[in-house]
Amino acid sequence: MGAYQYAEIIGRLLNSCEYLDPRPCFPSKIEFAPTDPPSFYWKQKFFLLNDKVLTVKDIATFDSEGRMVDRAFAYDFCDKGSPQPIWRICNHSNSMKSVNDPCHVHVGHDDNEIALANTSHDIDFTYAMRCIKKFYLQKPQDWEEGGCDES
Amino acid sequence: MTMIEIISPPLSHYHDTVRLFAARYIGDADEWYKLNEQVITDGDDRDYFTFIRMALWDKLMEEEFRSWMSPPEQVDLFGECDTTEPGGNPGSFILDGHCWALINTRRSLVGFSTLANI
Repeated sequence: MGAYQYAEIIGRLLNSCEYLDPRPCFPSKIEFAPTDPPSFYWKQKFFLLNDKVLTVKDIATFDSEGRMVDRAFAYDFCDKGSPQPIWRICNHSNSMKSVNDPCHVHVGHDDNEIALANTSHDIDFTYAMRCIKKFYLQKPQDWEEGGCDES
Repeated sequence: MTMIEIISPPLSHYHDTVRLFAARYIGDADEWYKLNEQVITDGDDRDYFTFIRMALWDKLMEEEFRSWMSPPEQVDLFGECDTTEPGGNPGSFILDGHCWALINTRRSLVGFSTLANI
């Protein structure tokens, strides 16, 4: 999956997301830098139902096989106007880090950090949207008791 | 409904951006190559700079170096990587015309010509 394929997946996920608030915040711009293969830069804030906000930072470089190499990402899901996340999935991304580095979820408070995965290979926007869906369906998240089931 | 717009800025956009950041955070656009994340206080600027540094820094440095080697008023002996005159650039020929080889060759030839003028 290269940068273009990832962008296509993101577009499909957004088009099919039933929890987005219809307030106009589109189109969302994804930037491809002139590298070979292209590098990927995306920052966007989405409004969701019940005054929730998803703030996305997704930055990645890819190798020639289309695999992500380095990433800086954060999927921050919170109440509108709240400084604290309901959850924020990230790789502590003040700088780019290898996809082989672990990633975390912060729940309710920045200090409340839970290890989420040993790598961030599978923790992308698709995963964030799955967490959104679980939230609205009131299903447990992977980091919660009873979570880790496929839905 | 199209929600995603793909944009592909040219390299000059990134050059302009790092120069802008350099002017903003270290006070001199020409010192852009000295920028680092620690001096960039705005989170969005820092993220963008991090992206540029990871993905494009070598390209920016190469472009800067090459423009320094060939000021506009000077006839460029070697031209662009892919338009090198055959036989005019032995290092590039031997190393299959790669840009880094071209740059190294140019640096060497400048050194040789300097020595020859002593």
